[in-house]
Amino acid sequence: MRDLRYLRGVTTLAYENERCIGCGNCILVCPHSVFARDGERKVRLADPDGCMECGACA
Amino acid sequence: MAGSKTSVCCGVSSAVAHAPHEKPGYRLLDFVVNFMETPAGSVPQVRTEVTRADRRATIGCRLGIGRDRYRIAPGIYATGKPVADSPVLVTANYKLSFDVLRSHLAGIHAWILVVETNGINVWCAAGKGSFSADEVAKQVVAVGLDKLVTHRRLILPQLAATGVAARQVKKQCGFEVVWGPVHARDIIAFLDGGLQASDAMRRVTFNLAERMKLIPVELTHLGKTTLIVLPALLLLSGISPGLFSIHAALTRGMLAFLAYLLAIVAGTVLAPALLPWLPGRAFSIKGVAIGMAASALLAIRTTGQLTKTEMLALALFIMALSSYLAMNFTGSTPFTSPTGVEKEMRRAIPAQAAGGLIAAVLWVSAGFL
Ligand code: SF4
Repeated sequence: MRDLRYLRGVTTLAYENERCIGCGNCILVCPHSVFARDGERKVRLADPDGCMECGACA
Repeated sequence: MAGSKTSVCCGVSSAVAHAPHEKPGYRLLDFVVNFMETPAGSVPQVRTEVTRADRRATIGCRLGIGRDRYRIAPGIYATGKPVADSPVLVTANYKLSFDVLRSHLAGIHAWILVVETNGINVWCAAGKGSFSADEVAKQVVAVGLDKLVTHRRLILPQLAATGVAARQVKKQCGFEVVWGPVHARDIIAFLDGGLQASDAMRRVTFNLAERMKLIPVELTHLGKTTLIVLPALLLLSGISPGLFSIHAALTRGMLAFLAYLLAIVAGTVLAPALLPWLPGRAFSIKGVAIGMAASALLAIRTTGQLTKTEMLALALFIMALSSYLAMNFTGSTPFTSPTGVEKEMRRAIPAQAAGGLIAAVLWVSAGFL
């Protein structure tokens, strides 16, 4: 949804690096490509403002 | 005519085709072509074409007619002639979801496991919690899926992830969840690609066609409101130095009603259609922008009929209402977050209400000038 963006900096999405086991499921299920791989065993928030708080990744 | 087989009152007896699967007390659904016997019982085979009757029902559904009862029976269905290692695709029991899925399975031998979501589509049901791990596991057990297939894999639409915890499904029924693509149109590519979805298949889109499809339902919601708004506008427009003027109520009332219609077109039709091109991120701002354009149109079309105060009142009215209607659309998009919507509403609703109130005051006082 690169052409359609909603408000900036409001999402409640939080990523806890220490608890991430790098399973990559969040990358699979997110409908807005919010996550990206960050090395072998972690992910990072590539686009937090794209999050619509659908809860799929939780 | 004695002896003739085409007697008028009894119909053409020889032309009645025997329906092979008819059963007293049941009606065969027209998307079922046959039944196949399996270790888990008799399974309906469904056609992969969507017929004219399906399409008609879809249009009715989009217009909000019988929308709530558009469900099919949960359970197991088949496309083609699936066997023990054929894929199992899971979907909601909203008929449109089911129709879209089967229409993209031409030439595919697959099982379709329909779960009970009370006739609600995949994403909404997942969000509401009815498309859940419990429900999926329940249907897997109920249909005896372990007798039907030798593998232990379910392909779920990606958007079901909001409601379905894959781990729980595995724990409760032993089947592993594989996340399929967002759209059924990519399902064949997904199956052919070894159950891998490309990035594009994983992303939700909201293009012009997808936005337009939502407009009719939004419009039908406004019917009842209009029944209240019309008399209210006539009443406000009729207030005059001599208490009430029916003439003013009708002439000014019609202009106010025209403004109301313009606001609806702006906020409910044009704002969603032009969404990416309207300025601002907040929908209420986009609504004001398109409302401004609608006001300009009204000013051009009614030159000479309205005083400056009246025009100002109607422009404010259009912008406030269009802003409000456009903001309502945040509830129907696949990219607006609840936290964002809440923040927007907290700021916009007071402004819209103030705009509407000032418009009403200006409109009434203009009747005395
Ligand atoms: S809540 Fe939904 S949109 Fe937001 S990051 Fe998670 S999966 Fe993506």
